[in-house]
Order: sequence, then C-alpha cells, then structure tokens
Amino acid sequence: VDGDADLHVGGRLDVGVACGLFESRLGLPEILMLEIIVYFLSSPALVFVPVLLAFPVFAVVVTRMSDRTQRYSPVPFALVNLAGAFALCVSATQIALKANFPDLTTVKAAVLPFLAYLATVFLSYALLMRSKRRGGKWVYAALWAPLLVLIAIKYLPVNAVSASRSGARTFPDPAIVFVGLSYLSFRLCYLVQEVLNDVVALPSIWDYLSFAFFVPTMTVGPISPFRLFIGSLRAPDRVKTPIAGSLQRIVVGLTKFIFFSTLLSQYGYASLLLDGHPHIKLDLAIAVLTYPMYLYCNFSGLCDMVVGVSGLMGIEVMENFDRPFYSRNFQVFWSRWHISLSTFMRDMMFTPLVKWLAGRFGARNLNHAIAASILGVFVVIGLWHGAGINFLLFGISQGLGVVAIHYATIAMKKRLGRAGFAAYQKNRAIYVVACSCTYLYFALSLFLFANTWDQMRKIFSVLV
Amino acid sequence: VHPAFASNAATLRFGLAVACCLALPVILDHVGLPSREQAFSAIPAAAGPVGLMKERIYDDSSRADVLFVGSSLVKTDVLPERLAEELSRKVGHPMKVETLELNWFGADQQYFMLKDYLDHHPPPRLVVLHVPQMRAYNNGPHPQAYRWLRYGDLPALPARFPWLSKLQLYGEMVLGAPRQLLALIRPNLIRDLDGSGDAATARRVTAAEPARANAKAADAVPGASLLAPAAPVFEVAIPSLRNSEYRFGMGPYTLFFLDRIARLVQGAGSRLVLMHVPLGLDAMSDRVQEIEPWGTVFGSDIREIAVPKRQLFEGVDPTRFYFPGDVHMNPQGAERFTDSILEPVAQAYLSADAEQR
Repeated sequence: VDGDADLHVGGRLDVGVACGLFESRLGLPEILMLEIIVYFLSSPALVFVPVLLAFPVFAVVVTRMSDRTQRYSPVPFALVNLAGAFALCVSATQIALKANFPDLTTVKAAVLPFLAYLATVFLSYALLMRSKRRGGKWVYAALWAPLLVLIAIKYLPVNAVSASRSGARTFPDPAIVFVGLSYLSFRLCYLVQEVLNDVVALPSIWDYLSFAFFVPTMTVGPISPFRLFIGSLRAPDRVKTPIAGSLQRIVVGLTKFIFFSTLLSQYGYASLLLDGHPHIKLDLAIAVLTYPMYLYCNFSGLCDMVVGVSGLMGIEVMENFDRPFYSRNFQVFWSRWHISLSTFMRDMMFTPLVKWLAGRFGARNLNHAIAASILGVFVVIGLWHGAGINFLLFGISQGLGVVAIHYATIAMKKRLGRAGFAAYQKNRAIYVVACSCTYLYFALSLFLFANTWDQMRKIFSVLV
Repeated sequence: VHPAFASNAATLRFGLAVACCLALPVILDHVGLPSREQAFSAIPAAAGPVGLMKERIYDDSSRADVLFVGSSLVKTDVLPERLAEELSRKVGHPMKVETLELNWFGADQQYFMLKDYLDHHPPPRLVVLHVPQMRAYNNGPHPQAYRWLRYGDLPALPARFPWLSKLQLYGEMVLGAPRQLLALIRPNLIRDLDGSGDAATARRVTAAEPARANAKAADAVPGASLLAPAAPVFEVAIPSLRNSEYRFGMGPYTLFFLDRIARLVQGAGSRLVLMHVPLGLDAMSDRVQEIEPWGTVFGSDIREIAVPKRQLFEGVDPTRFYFPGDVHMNPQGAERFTDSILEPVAQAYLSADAEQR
C-alpha cells in the first residue's frame, strides 16, 4: 500500500499468461489487441462492422488469387460472399442464444438458418428461370416465393409453436437469427421484376448468389437493384465510385454509427426512460425529439459504410438517405428516408395498385386511388419493419401523413393557383415551420416503432 | 457513391459537431458539473440497488463499524444484518455493518463509491474489499462508468498510466456527457420503483426459488481465515482459453484503482482487508485461486479473508444446495458464507479497533 503505485501500471504487466496459444508473457499492446478481438467476438452486435470493413480486402484477394487476368471471377466472389454471410449468421445466432463467444454450439446452431437462406435463394432462382422461360403463373410464383419465406419465418409464431409443444423455447428467436432476411427477400423480388422487364439478362447462379448474399448489403440493405450491382461489378466506373469518396463515406458512416448514435442513444427511450427510475414529463419530450436523430445516425451511418465499402470494390449501391430532416412535408420525407425501400414499394406495389384501382374505379377517382394505394403501401412498410400491432399502427400513421399531404397539396393548388402555390413553396419561413412539423410528426409516430406495448406502458408508468 | 458532404459548409458543421461532442466533458467541467449525487443517480436500476446505495452514500451520514465494498457478489453472498448481530454478540457492543455494491465488477466504481461514502460519513473501523477473482472481474471501466464519471473527478493519474486507458476513461466521460448535461437542466430522480434493485428484495426473490432439500445452514460452518497473502492456501490462477470468460490477468486500469482504494482507506485511518467469495463455477479445491498475488499489489501486511471451497462446503454438493446459478449464492449459501467469515471479520475489526484507539 505504501509503495509507488506506478510500479503496477504501464510497461509490461507482471502477469503470467499461459493460455495455450501464448506461451510468453504478454506486453500491454498485445493484451489490448487480444482484448479488442475478444471484445468484438463477445459483442456479436458489433461483429458486423469488422466483417464489413474487412470484406473488400478479403474479396479482392480471393478473387484475384483465383484468376489474375480478371478483375472479377464469379465463382470465388460468390463463395466469399457465402462465407461472409455464414459469419453474419453465426454472429446473429450468438445474439439469439445469448452466448458469450461464437463457440462450436453457436456455429452448429447457425447452420440451419444458413441452409434456410440457401434454400430460399435456390428456390427463388429456380422459379425465376422457370418464369423467364414459361411466364404465366410462374411469374407470380417467382415474385412471391421470397416474400412467402419472409412471411413464414418473420411472422409465423415459430417460438410459440415450439414452446407449446415442448414447454420451452427450442428455437432461437427467428427475428434475430434470420438477420437481413427482409432485405434479401425484397432484393430477390425486385430482381424478378428486372429480369421479366428485360432490364437485365437472367443472371448465372453464381452472380445470383453473389447478389443475394452480397455481404455489405446483407444485414442493413439497401434494397439495391441488380442492374446497379452487376453493371458496376463487371465494369466499375471510378468516376461514380471514387476510392477517396468511398473512404470518406466509411469514415463519416463510422462516426455517425459509433459516435453520434451512441451519444444520442443516451436520450433514447431505453436508456433514459426505461432505466427503472421515475422521470419528469420533460424526459419523454426529450426522448421523442431525439429518437429520430438517433435512428438516422444509426441507420444512415451503417448505410454510409455499406455504400463506401461497396464503392471501394467499384460496386454501386443505391443511396438510402438524402438529408431527410430538410423535408418540408411527409411526401418529400419518404422520398429521402430509406429511399431504397420507398423506391421498391413504389415500383412493386404502389404503381401497380394505382393502375389497378384507377382501372376499376375510373380515372375520375384517381386521387382517391392514389390515397388508398399510399395507405396500403405504408401498412405493408409498417409490417415489414416488424410483426406487431404497434408496427401496423406505425405504418398507418406514416400512410395517413402522406395521404394528408396528398390531399392538402391538391387543395392548395386549387386554392392558391399555380403562381400562389409556387410562392408558398418558396417562402423560407413556411419552409422552416413545415420542416419542423414534419420532424415532429415523424418523431411522435416513432414512439410506436421504437417501443413494444409493454415498454410503452412502463414509460407512462414512470412519468411523475 | 455520393460525396460524404454536399458542401464545405456541411463538412465544417460535421467537424464542429464532432469536436463539440468530444469536448463536452471539458466544457461541462467549466460550465458546472452536476453534483456527484446527481451523477450517481443516473445509474439505471438494472445495475443493482441504486436507490439504496444513493441513500446509503449521500443521505445517511451515520457511522458504520464494518463496511463491505464490492460487486453483486457482496449483495447476494454477504448478509450484513446477520453479521452485525453476530459481531455485536462477539464484540460486546452494537455493531453496524454496511455494504456498498453494484452489479458487475469495476475497481473504479468501488473507488468512487467508497470515496463518496467517506466524504459523507465518519470512517468505518474496517473496510472489507471484495477483490477481483477469476470469472468475476474486468480490466476496464465498470459497465456503468460513463453514467457517473465526471471530468475532474479522477485522482491524479501517474505519468506511466497507459494512454489507451486514459483514452478509455475520457471516452467514458464523452459518452456520459449528454446525460450529465441533462442533469444540469432537470434533476435525475431516483427510486427503486418496484424494489427489484433492492438487495433485500433480490434475496427474497432468490429465496422464493424451489426449496433445495437438505440445505443445512444451521450446521456448524467451517470458518474462513484471516490470512497473509503468502499463506499456502492461495494459488495464483492461470487464465486459460478453456475458460469461457478468459482474460489476461489484472490490467493497469484495475490495479491503479485498487491501489487508490487502498490509499483512500489508509488516508481515512481505516483498516483494509481483502475478501474472496466462492463462486458456483469454482472447482472444489483446497486452495483459493488468486487472480493476482495481492501481496505484491497491496503490500505484504495486507490480510485476506478466504476459505477454500472444499473446506466451506465439506460433505455437501454446493451446486445443488447453495448456488442457484454459476456465480451467486442462494440465501442458504449466503448464510453459510456469512457465518464462515464472522470470525476473521471480528478478528480484523478488533485488531483495527485496538490500533485506532
């Protein structure tokens, strides 16, 4: 106790470490490096980041090793993506099983979900080939197959079934294990439309696998079209995907995801209001107002990294965000927030639905057909985010917001005339107020998205 | 790939936002930090009996005779009321035994709780510190350190304190700054809403588990001993990859704060004693595994309270009767362990009392 504390700090640690692999005594840098490795392996939610960042190097090395004459070799590239996808499955299973470490049990448990992924992709490919050759009902089968798998896995109460049979949960939570299934299903569905509309040729199975399991877009999207992927993979354009620009996106994405979103999470529902202590009502307002910023930094940060990492390999990926909080209304907002999802929904559901409704009820009712389609699209978007009434209500709230703007715009154009409406749109003060209102509406509606019913009940019970 | 920033102004704004967030702990230090009590109140109830600890540290100023400092192991395995009752009988006057504990291990957290406690209370005669053990320690800040660590609170860091650990500490302060900023404009309220964070409730919850047959807490309990670090009962544990939670011995961060705890106790004129707690995961052994040879850390005059698991649970399968999980004891186990440490605690207390008088 009386000794100099400095004896015990800094320099080499006087700790004998004989852990099998390391026979010698380790210095601080080695210990810290090992601690970092252990930290990432024991924090599976963070595994995505190193996997993502290491992927381009790994992919380039493996594909170049197999054939030095080509920039891109389909088979090794597909295999590298499959390996990466399996690694992500293992980390997702580790989260679901609450395992400290990705041990053999976790790896074994990850095999089944991975096989389910593979089966989905092979089935989708087989149906795509069949629909291209024969058309007719096969088109619907090809379009719906990935979606049905998603519905079956994400929305059927697998746990409830297994629990009722055995009295205990026997299967890890599918919502966690099948990480990225929502994105994978939508990407494959989108590809069917691209192939059938002759936007792209029928891909080879290796290109199909590479697209389906493309590691950067596997867990968080975006739902990028195949034409962008394959075009830039075969013939990269460094003007569109500059190395420096891609690196910048990665750095900015990491800063948003790891730094800003972590700081903002301190004001979030879970961290602030659900800490087990009473709170004044101001805290609820703070959580409501900061949650959209947290969500934006978290999600757009990851998407920035995805775009940057893909860009390093010369692969173009669709942008997902475009300054959404500068949106003057909800219609504009949804064209800037999760752009790939809204584009997908526009192409795959909204446009066909409006056409069908307009055809059925006449062009006179076009505006109502548009409104009904918007609402339908957002109900699906809500449920796509998760199974539950709160997600349904979230979708409806978003739909009602866009529908309200749809009718308000029609009414204002009628009332103000073209020149008056243009002047209204140019007014800076109105723009600021409108942006604030859009943000506030989105922030309030996210309360349904961010919390389960139980959490909502708890939040109101802790307010004093 | 769109450019990361639409304009130079956007780049500047982003850079400024990063710089402001990074500087927030220093800015807060200049503007005015929330009180330590307020900082402590930001710890979530999941971290243990926060309400109880806040009351014990900041609101109650009475003197304790014996103070236990540690993690959740102290919360579940040491029964202060039972110990106080027995010690009072042994010593001949009423004794007050208190505990300071939060879930998870963190020498920094123990240091700050003890420091705040000593700032608000007359020093206890005896401080019993639960030392890090295999499978019950960490080499960095406490998981909740960012909640209460304020810029300017740290003891002077030695020049050779690793810069990575300094960075880690500052990172914790940056992470906690938003909540501390919030505490400046409105108070952090604290109350164990449903009592789930309360130590007594935690014991009741454990007690409500299915009764384990033949748990004979009333039987004669083999006593722990008050030992010098060089006693043959100790062996230094060798971390192994075979252990699921292996690490690489005590790092400089933990050693620094343990040393500061020792200085704090010495400065207050109290006596420091180290304590080992048997874990469900530990092998039944005649030895007590030490993660560090504590004599080299605290000095050879330090004393440790320890009882080998085989001795404490002789003739009983502890995993069946005393450990509902891998780590903590059930109430019967806690009674057995508390009874076992009675003698060495009394011995250490009497010796400290005589010395301090």
